Amino acid sequence: MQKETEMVPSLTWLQKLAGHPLLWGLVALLLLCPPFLPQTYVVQMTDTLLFVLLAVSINLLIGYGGMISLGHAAYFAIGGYTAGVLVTQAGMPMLVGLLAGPLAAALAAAVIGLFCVRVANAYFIMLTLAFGQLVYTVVWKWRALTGGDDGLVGVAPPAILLSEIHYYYFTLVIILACLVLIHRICESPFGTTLKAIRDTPSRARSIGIDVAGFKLAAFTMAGLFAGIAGSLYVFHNRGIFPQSALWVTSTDIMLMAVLGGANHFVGPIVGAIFLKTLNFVIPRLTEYWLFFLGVVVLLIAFVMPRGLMDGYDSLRARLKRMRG
Amino acid sequence: MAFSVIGLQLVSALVSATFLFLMASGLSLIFGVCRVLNLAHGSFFMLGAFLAYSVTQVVSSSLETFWLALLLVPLATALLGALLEIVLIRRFYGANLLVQLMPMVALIYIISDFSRFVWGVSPGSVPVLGLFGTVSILDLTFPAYYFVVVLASMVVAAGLWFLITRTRWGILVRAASQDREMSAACGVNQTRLFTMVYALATGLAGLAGVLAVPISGASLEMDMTTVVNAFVVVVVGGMGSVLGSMLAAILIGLVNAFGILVLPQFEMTFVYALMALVLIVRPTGLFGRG
Repeated sequence: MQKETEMVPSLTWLQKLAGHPLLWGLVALLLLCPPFLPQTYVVQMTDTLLFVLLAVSINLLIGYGGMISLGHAAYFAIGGYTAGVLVTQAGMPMLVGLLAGPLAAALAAAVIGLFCVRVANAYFIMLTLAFGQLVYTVVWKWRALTGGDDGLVGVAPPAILLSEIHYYYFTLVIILACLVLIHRICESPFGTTLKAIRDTPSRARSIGIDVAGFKLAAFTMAGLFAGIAGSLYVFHNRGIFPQSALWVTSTDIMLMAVLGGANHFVGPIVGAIFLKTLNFVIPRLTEYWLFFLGVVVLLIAFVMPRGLMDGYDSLRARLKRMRG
Repeated sequence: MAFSVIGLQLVSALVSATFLFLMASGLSLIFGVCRVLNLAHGSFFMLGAFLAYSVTQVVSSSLETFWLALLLVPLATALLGALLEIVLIRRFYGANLLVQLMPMVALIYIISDFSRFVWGVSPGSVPVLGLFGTVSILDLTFPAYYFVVVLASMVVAAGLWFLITRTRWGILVRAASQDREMSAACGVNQTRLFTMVYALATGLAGLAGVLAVPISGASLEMDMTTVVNAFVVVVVGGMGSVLGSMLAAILIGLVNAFGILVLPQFEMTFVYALMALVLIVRPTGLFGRG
């Protein structure tokens, strides 16, 4: 009896995945294309993958928990710097960095989250932004450890991962595994509880849900995944700079989730690819990338305030109605 | 020796409290009445600083020009605030917090790059600090400008207090912040009120920018550093309370000024420790409602 209840959900989960030909097509594309692409594109794709994970991990907070974080870059940077410092200054192997980075990010998220989950809405935004800037200041000023604004440089992966294409596949496998894991978390009772807390915190509390505890757990998990992205980034980029912890990195990650559609699991993936592609193309045309991005954000805010995925959904619904 | 250090830190605490108060009270006003988190508040501060720099560049860096800038620039940022409220911000009043953030972040990005386009990346300075001379109190010498700043903020604080507690307009503002629907039902022109509140607050941010420029100069990073510090003040003081903003600004100015003596490298550490403490004891801030 017990075995049956355990088996059924995981089966439906697999079936659900199998029923998404579009998704499999995308994964096939990601697996097969890179050998035929110039190196710049492969580097750009690896970078995009990392931001896909960042956007999906922040959506655990924004979309599922109703917690709008403007300090997510802090955990990305902590993951990156921890891995980088361990490798360059303590001479540790890459694997140690890849494990310690996310753990340090999760630990920082747990400590900062302890304060942030006590408040909600606008206060939460202000607090996460403020703590994010605190992390930025520490990274920037702690020269002895982080190299200050000269950055932490010379973080190289082992020989086998030195080629861009190898590193791309290495990243792809880890990111895909993380995405599946986050998807499982969102669909689990934990994710459902989180949504209940987002929709009516008072009702969730009254049926005995530990609201602050669940929020803190989500905050820590989001920090952990951001840390994974950060520690992968530091080896990909051969180093890391304080800019990675700056507010603008946080607002970019937030925008990826929101522009893509925070009420969809795939929304942030679409948003990250959209924004990263723009970021690849536009700076070649104009020096004023932020201005351009601001105009794009305004346009989307007016036309489809719930994100690209939502716009796509309503477009499809309208087409269906027109046909039938 | 110890006395002179304490005196100097006290004055610099008051000066930094001035900027914090001017920013936090505006944020508080907009949040209380318009119910939006004005994330772009620091951008108006930065514009104020750069505009003051331009005025003194174009005319002359004399005292008279600075006074002129002090008068005109806040009016300019208030006008810009009113304009942006009418064409942009007001369309998002009914939306949820997440959607409200989008135009705010867009404004920050656009104003940031606009400033880089107009004023370039190197910071601008307005060398009027020396023109004000110095003041000596008990063997300690301070730039007289510091007292101009503190005095200006006191005038603003008194003006705000009078405006909000003693005028008809203030009654409307308080009514709107307590019960928006009821005040609308009583026939208050909400649309105009919101525009005026937004203009007042962005004018205050511009004023803070002008006042800051002789001390810290105008730079592209000042928008977010300032707004984040103002957020800390609002979290400690409590949102929607001008008195709370003022006391929290003074408290944080003091903690920062004396914290810098203990840990010069990480000046903000004690401020964040204070904020963490307030969050544990009173999550709504020292003077917050609820």
